Amino acid sequence: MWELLISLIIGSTLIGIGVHFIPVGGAPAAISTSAGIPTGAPMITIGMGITGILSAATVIGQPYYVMVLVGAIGSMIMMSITMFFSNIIHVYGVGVPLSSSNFEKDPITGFEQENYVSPGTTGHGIPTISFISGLIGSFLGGIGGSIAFGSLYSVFSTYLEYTAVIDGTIATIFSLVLFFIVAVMASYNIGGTIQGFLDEKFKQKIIPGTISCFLISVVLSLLYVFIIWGLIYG
Amino acid sequence: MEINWGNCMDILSNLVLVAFMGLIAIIAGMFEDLESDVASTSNPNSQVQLAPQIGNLHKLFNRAISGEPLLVGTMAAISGSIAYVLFTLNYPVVLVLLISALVATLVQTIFSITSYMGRITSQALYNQPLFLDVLHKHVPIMAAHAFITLLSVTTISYIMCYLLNPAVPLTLPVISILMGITLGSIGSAIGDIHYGAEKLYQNYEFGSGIAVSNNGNIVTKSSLGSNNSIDVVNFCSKFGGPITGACFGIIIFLNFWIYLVFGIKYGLIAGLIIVLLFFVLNIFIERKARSKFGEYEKN
Amino acid sequence: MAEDLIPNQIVMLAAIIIGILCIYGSSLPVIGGILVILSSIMATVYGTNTLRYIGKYSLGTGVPSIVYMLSAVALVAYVSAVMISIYLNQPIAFPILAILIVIVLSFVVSLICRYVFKIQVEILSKSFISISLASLLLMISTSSLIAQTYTSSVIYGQVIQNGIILLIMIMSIMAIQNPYNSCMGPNEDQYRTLSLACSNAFLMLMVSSIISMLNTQYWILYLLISLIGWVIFFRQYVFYTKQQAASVRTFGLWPRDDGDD
Repeated sequence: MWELLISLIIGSTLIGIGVHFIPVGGAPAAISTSAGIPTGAPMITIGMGITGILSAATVIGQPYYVMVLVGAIGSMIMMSITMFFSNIIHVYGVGVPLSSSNFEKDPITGFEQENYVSPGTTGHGIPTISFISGLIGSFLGGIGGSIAFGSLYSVFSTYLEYTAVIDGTIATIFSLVLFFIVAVMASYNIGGTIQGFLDEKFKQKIIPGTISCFLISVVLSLLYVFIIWGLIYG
Repeated sequence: MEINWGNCMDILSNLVLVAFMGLIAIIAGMFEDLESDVASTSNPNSQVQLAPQIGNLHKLFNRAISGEPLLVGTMAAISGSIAYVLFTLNYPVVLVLLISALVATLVQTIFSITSYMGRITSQALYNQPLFLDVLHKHVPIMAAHAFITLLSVTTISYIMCYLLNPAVPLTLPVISILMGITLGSIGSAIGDIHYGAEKLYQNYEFGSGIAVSNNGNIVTKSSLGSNNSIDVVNFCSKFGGPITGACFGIIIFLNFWIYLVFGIKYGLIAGLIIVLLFFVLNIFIERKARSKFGEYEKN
Repeated sequence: MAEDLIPNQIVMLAAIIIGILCIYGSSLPVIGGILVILSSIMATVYGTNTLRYIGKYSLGTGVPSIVYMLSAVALVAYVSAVMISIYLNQPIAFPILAILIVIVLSFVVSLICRYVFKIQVEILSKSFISISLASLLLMISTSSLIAQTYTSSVIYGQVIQNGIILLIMIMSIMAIQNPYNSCMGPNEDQYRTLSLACSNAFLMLMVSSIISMLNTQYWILYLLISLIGWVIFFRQYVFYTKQQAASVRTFGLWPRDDGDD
């Protein structure tokens, strides 16, 4: 039972930390007024985590670390393809170069940002450093979700005698609910938009974000372990 | 050398099913994005909401049911659960898929009608009229797009749950909710930019983002009098819709294909190579956009 | 916002008392279903009315996100109460246990929001507890309609094990946050929003009665009652809309600035 508690706490905290890395633009990004992915922070996080859980559920017979890696790669594939196609619409549909006015120079490619931002806006599209930040965020989120899903599934399949379908369904319900709560709490902490780890807002918000996600994950994991202990020995 | 024909036929039939799933996913992605353009959902709708407050009255559709992933997720969940109930009672496959998509489309239509009426009436302070002909003309088109989207999502979930050979061990309602929320967040992140930044603000010059001071000055007049959302979907179906469909199709196809062709361990390495490939492509189009478009003039 | 004619405290008391009584009455053969239809309507009205107060404060993300999180908290309390009452073998304790757990959990969430994120809104704790309580009552009522009883072992077999509980959670998120989100604006009116809330709740019950086809032969009766209820409240909503809109037109363009036309 202790492994279940520790892995649930680690998984939920990783989800919370991963949310802070994703470059979210919110409603202004959909009209090219600010840089980032143009949806709200909870929405894209829940979508990314769900792809991770779905990929991890397709390889259920395999050992535990394989399930975790498959879930992480699944959510990284979804995030990278989504960000790439979003940039294609910015470049060819709206006709703007990718830039953001939150930092001076992109550290990886060395491109100057200031002159390529339309006057009156704060950037558009997802430049390279935000792309990397999004990949890191989806990797952490995918690993966290798959750790939670995998440990719940292995506890159900060793101790209870249900079929694989029912085990998978109940494990999905528990981990989906965890995603909903932790992702929305973390996006309350972000408070709107963030540009990845090169934003100044990131340095202020990461410590309270980690503490609050840790607190809520301790409460929820204790409740889950209590329920499952009662289900097994009851 | 012994060839295990049973194993080969297994992998071959799975490959054909996965390719078919990818094809239907392209259709699902395209029609979901076009449906959210004809009914003006989610992020660009904030501009349509803002326009009467600064004096631009309009004749566009204005729908604010909820966020887009939650809306597509709810409708996919309704469709998947009704399909699950009818499959348990042993009805034939095609009839079940059509009936469950039809019921979910009716629910989405009712939500759209009440949401349009609610938002416009709450802006009575700015003198925005409630146009009943907008309802009569847009709702059937929106219902048609939604039906195709929901039918495709339910078909993909059915294939994943019942037909693939090591079937995904989840029940049909759960898979359709997961598919619906993923489709909603992808459609909201990609296609809405073409609607919001390009079609709504066509009176401004091509090639720049929308400055904060210009928010709300949307195009309200067009070739037949007023700009309405049917013109919008005509424009966006040329670029925004197909790109969203391509993205969703590639994601669904690749997530299954790399494990079928390469096995589990080499499939992980193949997935990592695909992620790095898209990263390199991103740097490539960033460099190309900079060199082709040049800098903005200072004035 | 127009003056409130139905105070929030009366809605809260009515929803909780009627909700608990109707849920306990849901094991009766035919009339049980009608009682839980009534308690679903009261729970939706309660949730929407509370959301109208907290929605005016901008909490950083939009209105739907509050309801996502609190409905997920209500689902955690729901599943915990089912499992605990199976373990203790006391099926009658399930609704009361669920209500107690959800009050504690949503209070903890609101404390984290107030002290770690420094969100200073005075009605935060009370609103969070109210919305998750309304969501929990709505979920228990709908699953009692599908499973035809409130006994926890039957609910575990019929609703949780095949994943229909996720449909119930996502429909209850939609039913609680849609009326306020659709009617948000400077001329938002309580009667119009609450009539849309009742209409949405009947729509949700229509889908649930189709799903209850698996467990009862009276699903046609529940479908008819929900359909009649939906028609009544939808016509009421359209009547309020036509009364309160700036103008209702069926052709032509919008009026020009000088008030012509």
